Amino acid sequence: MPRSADNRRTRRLLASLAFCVLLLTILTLASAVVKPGRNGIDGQGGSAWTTYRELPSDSVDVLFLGNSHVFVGVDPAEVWRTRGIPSFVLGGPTQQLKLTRFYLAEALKTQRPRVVALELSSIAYGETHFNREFQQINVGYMPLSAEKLKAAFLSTPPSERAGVLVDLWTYHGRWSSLTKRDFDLLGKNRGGEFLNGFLPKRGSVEVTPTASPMPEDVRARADAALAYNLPYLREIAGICEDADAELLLFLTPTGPPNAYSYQLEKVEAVLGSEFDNVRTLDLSEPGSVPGLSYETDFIDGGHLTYTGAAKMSAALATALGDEYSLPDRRSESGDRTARWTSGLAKHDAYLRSFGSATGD
Amino acid sequence: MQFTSLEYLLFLGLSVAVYFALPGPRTRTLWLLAASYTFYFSLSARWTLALMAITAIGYAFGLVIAASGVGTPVHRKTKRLLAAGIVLVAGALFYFKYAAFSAGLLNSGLALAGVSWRSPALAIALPVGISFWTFQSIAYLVDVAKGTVSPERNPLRYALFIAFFPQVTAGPIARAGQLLPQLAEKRPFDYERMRSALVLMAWGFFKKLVVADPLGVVVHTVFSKPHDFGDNGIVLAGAAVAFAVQIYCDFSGYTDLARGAARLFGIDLMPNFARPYAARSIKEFWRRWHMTLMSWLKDYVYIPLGGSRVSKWRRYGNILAVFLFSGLWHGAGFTFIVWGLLNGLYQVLGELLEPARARMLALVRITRDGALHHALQVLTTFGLATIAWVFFRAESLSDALYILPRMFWLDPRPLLSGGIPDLGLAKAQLLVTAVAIVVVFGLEYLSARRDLTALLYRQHVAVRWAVYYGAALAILIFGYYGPMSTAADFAYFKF
Repeated sequence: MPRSADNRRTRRLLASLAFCVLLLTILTLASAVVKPGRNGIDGQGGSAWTTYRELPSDSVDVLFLGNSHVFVGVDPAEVWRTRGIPSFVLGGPTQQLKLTRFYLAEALKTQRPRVVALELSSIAYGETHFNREFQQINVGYMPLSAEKLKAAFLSTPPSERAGVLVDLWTYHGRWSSLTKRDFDLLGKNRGGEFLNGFLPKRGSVEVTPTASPMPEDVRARADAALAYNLPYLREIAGICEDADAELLLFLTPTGPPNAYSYQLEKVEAVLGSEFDNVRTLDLSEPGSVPGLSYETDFIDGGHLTYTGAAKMSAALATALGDEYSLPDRRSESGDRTARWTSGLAKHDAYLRSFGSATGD
Repeated sequence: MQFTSLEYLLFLGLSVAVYFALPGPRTRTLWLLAASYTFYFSLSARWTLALMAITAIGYAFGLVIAASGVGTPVHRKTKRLLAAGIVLVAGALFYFKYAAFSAGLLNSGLALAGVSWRSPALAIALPVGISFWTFQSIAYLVDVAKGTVSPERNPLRYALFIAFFPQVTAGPIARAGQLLPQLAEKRPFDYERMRSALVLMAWGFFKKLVVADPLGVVVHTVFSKPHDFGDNGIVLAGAAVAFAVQIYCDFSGYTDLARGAARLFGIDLMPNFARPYAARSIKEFWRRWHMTLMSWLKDYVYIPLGGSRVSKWRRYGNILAVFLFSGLWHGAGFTFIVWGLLNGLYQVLGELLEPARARMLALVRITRDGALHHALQVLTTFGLATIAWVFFRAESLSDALYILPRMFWLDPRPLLSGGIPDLGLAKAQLLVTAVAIVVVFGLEYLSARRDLTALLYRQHVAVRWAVYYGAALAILIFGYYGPMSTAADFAYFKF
């Protein structure tokens, strides 16, 4: 082949590569613009990966995982205030346990928590339980990694994979409602760091705590969901074991009758015999959270208001501190304590204005 | 695996990469065939066997027909073999597409005659693209019998001719003489060809995602509940016009994607559209719309019926027969039959009324070659086509008959008093779609006057890349796809 043809071919190959790289860059930028920001202070909860990844490494003693019950019910600032335990909530809306295992694996890349506290109400989700929008949040906001790909391929139906992996695919339809803030690529995921993954909720409904015996059909569904989720729980317990972390399976307070406590007991019986690092804590039993009001501290049957979350988090912190002998970090000097102290002040100021917005 | 899915794009990219990495035509044929069957299986797993069966019939009959002696006029024995081959292939098409419709007609007839026996109700799923690959098979058998093409002796190449994945779902309907030789050649990688293929595909994506699919939402909103818009003739007329644009952008967009994908492998498929809405008569419209089907109908139905070399009235009958056939090909239903017949009738009436039109033009002193006459012809043709499209799109004949008279009652009062009703799309999306329609027809108008792609390729690299990136962003941002949309399949997939 003549040299000029060779040169032409090389030039075209390089130009094609450059074209593709530039195209990819433009599309990545466009994706970042149309993807909604997720900063914790504008009402969106869960998948607080941006904040989590900016934490100093190995700075968290307790990592909270689970579904909306955890990011609405657990307030790390209250956990710090009560027992000086630095923690973070990395839950996701309606997150299935088969997805939580990838959250845990990814989270352990930057933190080495002594306790992984998994809120277990997601054990009620059976095989067919799926919500497209929540899955896009759960997987779509994970950092690009092998765990994200696993979450997309092993916990997402094939027809939804493009939606969780390609942001432009999912969010391009927002073009007509974009605001100036959407173009602030560095700032739109920031602002709520002091909440550490917590989503405060307000407004209350009166709920009835669990009391009546469980109907047979509910028990049958609970058993089926339990059987479906046990392998994922085993995997989660194994990941914790490999990371030298204790696994606490707990329940937040809930209203109407449900099978969570029944399932938690069953899980304890099974995993307790298989793993040394698994313990359980049922805060859904009436009276287990001091001061919790079933008239004013719930926004619905399963989620707490920010005042209820404060009470629940204090109870949880006490249990964590006692059960695992976690150190009180408030007395330590250093950046971590300073960061939590200043964060607590911002948190309190934010919740004061949050509460006063509706006169709470 | 739809043409507009990410899976398809990955599949296409992988297929092209492996294709050019393979050494010779034989391995490439094998690879393309495997890719084609994988594609078809992903779309219509249970009917892959039907595709294989039709392929086997076409291949075997091609060989036996050729062995019986070919040429024009066709020998008697060859005729019998050809008839048998056509009956088998067309029989499959009839079974899948028309058996249920025929059973329904039969039962209606029996009920009218007072007979109590009823044919059992049939619910037969339609294999994707069957109307296209059966027509391609029939054309092949006829061409072999006439001696205009040699029978394909390589079964893999013949199978690829029928199942080639860019065209297996909705054409263009290829002719053996045009496609088979290309499949036999080794096509070297060609940068220019690749580039033009990608540009053609981008154009197809634009028409489908930015114009056809959003318009489809509006059209569906109105045509699924026409009675909700019964007092709003402007909306009904707008929906009819929207469908005329949607069906064009959908099908021509699909064709661009199919031809672009084939071109990536170095294979040229026949064009299917030539600015049909610029036609000055319905006759011309049908020379510009779905050209591969119309040329098929001309060669294998119209000419065998006697074509134009018969008496005037017989010729009119032939035209009506061809368009009735075309209507039935599109779907087993009265709406399609009326749509086909109406298009045939337009042409017959067009010829019959030609002297009266000439007298009227002379009377109002409009010259035939003038711009005004041209514009009137184009508008009239578009209007007539749009009226016919109402039958094509309506969900029943009664819906079409409800819409048609009301869409001419262009009373602005409902719009003035109630504003634009909810048509399923946000105003911003409607606005973008309107701009995109102007872009599509504007660029097609300009491209008829000069070669726009050649003009683009002559520009500085910065200009070219800016155009490419702008087009990509326009498609990806403004396109109606993904989980936020209810984007539909290509309209012609169901035929």
